[in-house]
Amino acid sequence: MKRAAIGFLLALVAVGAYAWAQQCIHGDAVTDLRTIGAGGAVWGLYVVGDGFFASAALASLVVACVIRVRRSREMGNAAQIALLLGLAGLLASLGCVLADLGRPMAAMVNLPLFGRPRSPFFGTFTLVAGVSLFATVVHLALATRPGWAERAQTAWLWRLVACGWQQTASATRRRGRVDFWVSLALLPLFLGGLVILGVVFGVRAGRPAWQGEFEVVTFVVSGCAAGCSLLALATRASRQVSVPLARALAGLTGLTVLLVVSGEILALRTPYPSVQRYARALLDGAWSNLFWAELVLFFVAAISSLATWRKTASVVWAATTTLLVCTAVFIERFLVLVAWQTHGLGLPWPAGVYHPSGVEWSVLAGVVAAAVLVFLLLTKVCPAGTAASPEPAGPAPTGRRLRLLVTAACLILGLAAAGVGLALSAGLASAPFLDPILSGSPLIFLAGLFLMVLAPVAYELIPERKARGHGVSPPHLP
Amino acid sequence: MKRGPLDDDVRDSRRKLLAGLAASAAGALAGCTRAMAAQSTAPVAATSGSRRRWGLVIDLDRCARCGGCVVACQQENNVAPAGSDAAARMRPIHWMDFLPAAPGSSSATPIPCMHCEDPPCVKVCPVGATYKTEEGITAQIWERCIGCRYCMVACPYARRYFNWSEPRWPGDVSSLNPDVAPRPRGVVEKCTLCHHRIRAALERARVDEEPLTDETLRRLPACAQSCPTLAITFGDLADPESEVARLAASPRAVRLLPEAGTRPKVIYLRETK
Repeated sequence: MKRAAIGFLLALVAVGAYAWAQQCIHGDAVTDLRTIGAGGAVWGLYVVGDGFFASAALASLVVACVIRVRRSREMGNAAQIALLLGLAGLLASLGCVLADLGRPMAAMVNLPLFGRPRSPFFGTFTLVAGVSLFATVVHLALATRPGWAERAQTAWLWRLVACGWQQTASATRRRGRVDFWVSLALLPLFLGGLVILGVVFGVRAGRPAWQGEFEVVTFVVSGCAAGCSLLALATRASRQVSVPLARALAGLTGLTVLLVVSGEILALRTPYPSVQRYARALLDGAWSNLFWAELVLFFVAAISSLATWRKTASVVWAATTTLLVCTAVFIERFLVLVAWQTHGLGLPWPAGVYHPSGVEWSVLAGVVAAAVLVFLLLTKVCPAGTAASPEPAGPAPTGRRLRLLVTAACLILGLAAAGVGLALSAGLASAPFLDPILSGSPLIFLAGLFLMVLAPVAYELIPERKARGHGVSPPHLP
Repeated sequence: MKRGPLDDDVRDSRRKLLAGLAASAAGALAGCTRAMAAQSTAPVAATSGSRRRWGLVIDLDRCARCGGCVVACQQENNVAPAGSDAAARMRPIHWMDFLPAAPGSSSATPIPCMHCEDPPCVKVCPVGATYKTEEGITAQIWERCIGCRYCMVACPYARRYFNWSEPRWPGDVSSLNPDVAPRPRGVVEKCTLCHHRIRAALERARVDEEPLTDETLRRLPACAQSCPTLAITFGDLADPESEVARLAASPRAVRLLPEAGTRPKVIYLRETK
């Protein structure tokens, strides 16, 4: 059964890769995307997928950070799963972005060279794609060091990841401290990433910086619902029932329904004809089937998620709830993004249509399958992480000065580089809308942020001086 | 509260730590300042000293809706004609197109890029592939475009086009206009107000040491030149003596979607008939 499932996922990846190759050869004409105003949508399934995966991933990472900040031992496993889900989700969103771009290779060169902070995309490729991914990998590597140390004899790679780990009271104390502070520091990054994505993908086509009343909030809340549902399923599959997660899921799903309905009512009552056209298209027009399906799915999912916090709830039940929530959130993202392009334009262009092509569905299926495989692989390979725990009693730490200095230097230099990189990228003190003062300054900004993310690594890895007077040499793991 | 020797030690170590941090920060800042100073050869920000504001006025009373401007624009700017399949799939590229019915008009309205004073497409471009020139033209660097299409989503007028497939022209490529670079697949393109013609006219005036007159400018872009009823007038909106500025001050002058706050430099004279 397990082999068949993995074989199916691999087949989906192959189909997706073939479809993407077709797109690379023939251009985006193989998709059903068309020109805005000429009867179509220029952002479609790929961008919806990007928004969905990135928001679910960031929501999972937020949950992981909250659990670790609260030093909740009973939810330590859920935090580890959330980190893995976040990693897989961010990779899936990157896959969707690459599939969507007209010139992905040019993007890899031009974004680091000429990235402009005035564009909301700057935040998505630096904070969301770059730093969040890097920070998650670092966080995961640090959290699982004790587990890697136990496997250190089996492979050099594990020994490398676990480098320097000692099973001492002082090391455990330091581990807990790092875990707490890293989680606390990453929390605003992940929340900020969610808001940036909400600004980018909650955009109303043709309305510069005009977001709907609730669109950013709905994006964040529904993204959190998707993240929580995936997390609830993953924890349930590992034979755990996380009641707080299930409760949060029910609350978030209900809140999303409320926000979607309120947004629709406000859009119907607005004085702008184009906004009313969009609202009518949802209510009883071209997109009404999807809109009503979304509401029904959210409603059923809210009720079903209430049942998932029972200890007797089966994995199938949890999987059904997750499927309902994720489908509803996906439709919600689709309608916000696509229906505005087809029915919400300010000028009287003809209404558009968009039905994703087979190539688009295949690429998306391939991306999803690849993300699931990455997640399964990580859960198989990664040892259980240590949750931050209250500081154990023991001798006072020694040799802290060097460690603190290096950590502080990483933070300060990183902050300075990020600030300088941002200022150079933004072209401060120059005319607006021009190139960065220094080509490649977005890289300086990114490097600065990466350095800041590496600060806890320095804090954790720099060894302590041997404690004089305590006389006990810490037992080295192999 | 009385301090013990341990507190003093802690205070000393903290002082040393802070001194170390300050030294590191100062070093970093000094390094960055030097790096910035060394970049004297970096692209210099263009000054906004130019007073020219190129713009178009389209008189809807005069416009015969013949489509001559659309064809002339395609020819001048090497816009690849859409194949029958692409046209059926609603992927044509028309830098100048007809809007079914705009405010102030009862019939189709010719609509190029609005060359907004505050262009949303420029704000959202992540790589600076689209930018505003000193003279107010919203221009595009094809080579830099990454094909994210954010500018198309942001444009309130839907005046940007994506090359969904490799452009193909009928016959020999030698028939293309050598002054305009053809755009590859995967990039967004748009009206440039025939920027190449403006540059050429400016250069000619400089070489001949004669001022660039309003008469020379009025029919400079291909759409204005080809218009049989002289409905399209081009010129410097900042020059109060120019024909285009005079028309723009007419009580019939309207702009599209003023509520978007983009301040377009393409102005329509609404129909009176």
